[in-house]
Amino acid sequence: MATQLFVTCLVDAFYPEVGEATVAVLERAGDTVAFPVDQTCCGQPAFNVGMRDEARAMAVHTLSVLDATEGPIVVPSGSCADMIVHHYADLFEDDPESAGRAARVAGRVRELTQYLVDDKGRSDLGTACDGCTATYHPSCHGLRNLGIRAQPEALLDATPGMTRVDLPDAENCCGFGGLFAVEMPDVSVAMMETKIANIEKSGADMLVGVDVSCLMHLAGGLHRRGSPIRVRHIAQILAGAPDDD
Amino acid sequence: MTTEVPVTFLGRVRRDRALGIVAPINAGARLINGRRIEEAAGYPQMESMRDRTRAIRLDALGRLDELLARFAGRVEAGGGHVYFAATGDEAADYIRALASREGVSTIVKSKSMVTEEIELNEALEHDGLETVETDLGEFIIQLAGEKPSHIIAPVLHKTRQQIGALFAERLDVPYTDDPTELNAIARTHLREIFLAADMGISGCNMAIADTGSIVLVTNEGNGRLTTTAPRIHVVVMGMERIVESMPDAATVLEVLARSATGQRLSVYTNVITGPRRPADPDGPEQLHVVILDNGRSQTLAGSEAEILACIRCGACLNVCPVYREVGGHAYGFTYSGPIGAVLTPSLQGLDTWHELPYASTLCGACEDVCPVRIQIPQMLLSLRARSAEEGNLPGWLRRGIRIYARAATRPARFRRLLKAGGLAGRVLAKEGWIEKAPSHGAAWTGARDLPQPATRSFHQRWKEQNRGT
Amino acid sequence: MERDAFLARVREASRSAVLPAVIKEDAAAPTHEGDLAELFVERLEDTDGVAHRVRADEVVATLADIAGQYDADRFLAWTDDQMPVRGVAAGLIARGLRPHPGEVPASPADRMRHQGEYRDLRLGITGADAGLAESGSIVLTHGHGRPRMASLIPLVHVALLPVSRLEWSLSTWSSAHGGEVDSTTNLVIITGPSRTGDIEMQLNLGVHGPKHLHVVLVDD
Repeated sequence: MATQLFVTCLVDAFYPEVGEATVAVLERAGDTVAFPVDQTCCGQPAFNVGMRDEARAMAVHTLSVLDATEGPIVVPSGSCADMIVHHYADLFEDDPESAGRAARVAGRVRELTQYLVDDKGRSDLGTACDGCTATYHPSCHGLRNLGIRAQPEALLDATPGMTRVDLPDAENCCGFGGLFAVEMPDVSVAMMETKIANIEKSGADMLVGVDVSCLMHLAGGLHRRGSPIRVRHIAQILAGAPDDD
Repeated sequence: MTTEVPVTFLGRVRRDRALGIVAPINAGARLINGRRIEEAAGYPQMESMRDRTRAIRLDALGRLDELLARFAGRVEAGGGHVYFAATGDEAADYIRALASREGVSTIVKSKSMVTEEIELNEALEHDGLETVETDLGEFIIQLAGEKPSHIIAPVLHKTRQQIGALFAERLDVPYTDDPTELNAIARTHLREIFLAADMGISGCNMAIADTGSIVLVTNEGNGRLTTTAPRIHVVVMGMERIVESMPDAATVLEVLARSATGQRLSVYTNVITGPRRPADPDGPEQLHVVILDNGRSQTLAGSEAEILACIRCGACLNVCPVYREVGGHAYGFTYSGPIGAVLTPSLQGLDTWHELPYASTLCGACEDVCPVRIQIPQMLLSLRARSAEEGNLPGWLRRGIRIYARAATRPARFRRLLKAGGLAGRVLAKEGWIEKAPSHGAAWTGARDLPQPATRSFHQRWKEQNRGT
Repeated sequence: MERDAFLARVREASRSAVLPAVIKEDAAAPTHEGDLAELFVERLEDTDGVAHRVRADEVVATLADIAGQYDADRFLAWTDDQMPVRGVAAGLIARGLRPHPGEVPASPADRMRHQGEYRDLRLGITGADAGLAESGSIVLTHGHGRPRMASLIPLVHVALLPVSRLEWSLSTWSSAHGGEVDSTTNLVIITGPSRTGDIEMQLNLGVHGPKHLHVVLVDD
């Protein structure tokens, strides 16, 4: 039975190399990877701003695509996995059939590091990263809603040549928050600056995360100030593409 | 001199950041948060007490009318008076009539958020009643003519020098900025007023239905003085602030101070039952309890009912990454931080307050620390859904999401959109980054670069590698 | 608004409320091992209170020492029959201290004058109905012979607490005594001297209430 990849719209549009790295690491873990090609977006952007009709339409589409498959559904994003697992139920309170389908699909959805470490017992998949000093930012939705923290840290700790350093105030939100980043820019940027100051304080030369949403926002801030700190999704560390920029 | 209050949340944020008042609030919030964490580490029952607190508060909300009726009966049996106020105006009118009847001229107040919610001081002053705040932070706020910037620590935004100058100017004392001396000045000044006041007005942390008691929690002692020295004690109470029994109150009390300041209990936990009894050597002759609705029954009937379980500890403010960057005034009303973002629009309507539920990244830190385990992010989402339905979203956002949703339900169109993004990226980007995005994208690129959209999306790469589905 | 209309509106709202289902269970009584008095002293000191531990016949001398420490020549106390140790007031008077009357006069003018005399009162002496070891707190109830002002107005509050009255926590005390809180107009749980951090988060003691809290644990 193949493992289904739900790649997420941000990876699809901005960081396809993260998608490719995800496929590579799943294959190295022994899985056959399938990519249901009609997938688009889980609907979180619409849901978070309150446009539930639009979010529902996207959820219905996503469910129809995923429900036509079997096997685990792996998502290289904590927030997208959280959307499907916890919020699709909110969209289908009046639609028991879709609610049932949502529950069925949600039962198969796993964020990448949950899948590798908790389900497959593999925290040893890191490709060597000699002399890398990395710090891990625990994205909020994954951290608080799915309990994702120990898994990426275990994966990093088992990566040969890598030193993991603690991120001060790690659990503070980075300030992305989806459309919050452009609707409340002053606040988003202030939060970003606080997070970047902590990243710099950690002494790391690399920032690793499980959500490209946060990483995109932080990478944008780091690049604007000319920082040499590299930003990577955990899949890239595992697949061994640390120099991919 | 009146200053224009910016009407938008962001306007107030910009004003306060420019004024430099946010940085001390940030530092203060982090400090208090640290104390909460330290105390919680030494308190093994915290998680089970939080569970019990949640059960107590939600159970009370589910039987609110029953508990309020029982409470009122017990208060009256003990010689107190109970007045049910549907609105803030009704509450204020009752108190004003009482003051007039009883020849009251000076009133002392113990810190009470609900009296600020209904602007009680302004109503009383309108009648020429001198109403003096006695909580040190609230006293300072009152002298300065400002509003508090934090639910528990009202003057986090002020420096000692500012307070020193304020006292020198308004209290006619020599300037000092030493907190111990400022404290002593306030103690002496307020003591005179306490002992001369005719009426003391307090809030109510919790009412106890079974015994008709009011629980009042303070650290300074002003709560005790307010409810002991004057001959009339008036309690203003949000109708949801009630538990059934003293054991229930004890559970809540054991998490309240720990969550608010990292203390095991606040210095003074008062349980007040009725006015003075014949054998009592001191205490007020009259007790009046004003029970306030002011939008709470509407909230209780709706999808944000759970927010009424709040015990006003302020832990959510201290941990909120948004609150730390904007301070309390930005929320525009009595309640700030995550609690304010839900309570204010819920009590006062989304028409005026539709921005507040969006002042959040939904990070969930608030729910993590709330002693009542209130699901704030869930309520922010339901408020956002109502707000969008009521037409409060900006047009560009609504149109943008609609276009995106239409593409995201049509796979071929979605893949074309990805291609278009790649092309746009090639035009706008330099060396993989966009430094100046057009239109609303400028809100991103003001302070951050935007990575160039991929020229070949994941979908395209997969197709090119001929991998099928 | 009329009471019935108000409550009817609340009842209706409760009916349609979106509230998670909960089961309110009774708290399991936490067990505590170890010496309650020792823990009480530790926790009281955490709150900047001062602990003494003496025999009943040493109480007056201890109080006189405290009075001397703070230059107190007057004291406001609960009446003798309300104290856990007898003869306190008499003992202090014998040592030259003057008692302040606790009973507040009825007439407004006399009341104002009486309260004015509180101004420089340095020492208040009370008993305590219970001690809560976990938080280092004392529980005081008021009524005949027990002026509230004794523990509120003076610079120093000294509470006499028999060791046998120590309990574990507010919750355990409430399980046993919570139903009786209405037997007194005013019950107060005191946890340390009056404090504030309102000015730049700097701790200051003695804002409105006493600046110093002494608890004299009396072995009984």
